[in-house]
Amino acid sequence: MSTGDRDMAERLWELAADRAMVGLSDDEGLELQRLEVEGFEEALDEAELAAALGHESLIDETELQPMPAALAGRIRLAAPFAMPAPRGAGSREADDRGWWPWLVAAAAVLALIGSIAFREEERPTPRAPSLEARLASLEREAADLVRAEWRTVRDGYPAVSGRAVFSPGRQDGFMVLEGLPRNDPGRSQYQLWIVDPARDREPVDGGVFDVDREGRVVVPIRAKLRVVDPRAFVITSEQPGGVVVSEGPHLVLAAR
Amino acid sequence: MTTTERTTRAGTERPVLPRIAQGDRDAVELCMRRYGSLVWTVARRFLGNETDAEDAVQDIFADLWARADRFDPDQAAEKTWVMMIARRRLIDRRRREARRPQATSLEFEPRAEDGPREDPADRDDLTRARRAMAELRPEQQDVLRLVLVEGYSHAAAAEKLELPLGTVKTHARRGLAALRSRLGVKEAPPEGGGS
Repeated sequence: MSTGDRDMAERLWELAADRAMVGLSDDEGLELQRLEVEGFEEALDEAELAAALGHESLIDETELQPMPAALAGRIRLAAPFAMPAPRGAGSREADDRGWWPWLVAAAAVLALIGSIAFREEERPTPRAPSLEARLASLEREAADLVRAEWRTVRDGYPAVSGRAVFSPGRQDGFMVLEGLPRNDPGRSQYQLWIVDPARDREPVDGGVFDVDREGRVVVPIRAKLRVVDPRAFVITSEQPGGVVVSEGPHLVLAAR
Repeated sequence: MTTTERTTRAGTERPVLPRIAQGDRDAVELCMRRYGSLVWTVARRFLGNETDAEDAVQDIFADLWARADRFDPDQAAEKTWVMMIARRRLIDRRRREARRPQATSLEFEPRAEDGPREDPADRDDLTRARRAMAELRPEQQDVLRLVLVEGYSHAAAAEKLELPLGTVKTHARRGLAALRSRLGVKEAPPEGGGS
């Protein structure tokens, strides 16, 4: 392979990888189409496959949540219009075409009332283990579990108790919180920060969360980056969706 | 052995998409039970809000029904193929939301004529991918986690990680190349390619 061919092959992989991970701009798409290099389609397929498998490998299956029942209802209603006709439908398929406008209208109406018409219990979806069960499992099984107790650090803020637990090996953890006031998600959300000097000066974003009831709540920790050696966990109140860098103030803290 | 009798690359469940491709409407329910939570959770996390995720999930399943006949159990496990379709739609949506020029449509379907790379019963790509991911350099893992799971652009990941954009691109591309090489397809390209 000549130097030129090797450069082309490298550029092909860069574009194929970018396309599979973040998509391409118009210019990049045109550049990709113009690349005349051996293995063009293979590179695109392999990049997509690797991205899908990489994505799968980073998913914690215990965190899968069932899709809303109304959404599932809309998808079921729309399915016959997108999928092939049943085998052997023959002339019946032609007869059915006259009903399409009525079916489309019915689908639209039913979609509006989907949350009423399609209840979760009628179409059972496998449920993930409860947060309490997952917390108990992690605390029982993770040999490297880090644990710290919450305490309020802002003057005048309600007393908060509970614990933060995290397993660096599993990259999984939970907050058990008692006394953290309910928030209005439209106005503000709580955000967790994980202090990990082993990886960075800046704390790791542990994800935003809401508290919708009084008393004890269990919240999964969703660290955006790999956590190596967590020394402290800090909760702030931020704008909906959270922030990249918090300006505080710190509300509650759990430190080892 | 027919396609529907063959197990998927995951090796445990018979694929449901070939039934959908044949117009079996009962298979829709099974497909949604099998992949609904996965697609919903992935979309919500990738897009960051439930409203967009709902629209995206409808698009993804419509795409799955329409393309069910393209699924080849020898090319990828059914779940992985579902992820590939989901990721395409999510990336398209993310780019539209960002009001950037939409990517040129380059829909290359997995090519059935290539035949199996290996006997599906003899390997588990996901296990290999997990192992390969764990073996990547920490900075590559960080970039891939943000880009693949959280739906970050290269630029957003660079800002988040406080790294130069070119470095982030290189980590992402080399990390994906390392995953690809562990899947037994090809060796990763040589070091030296930059942003």
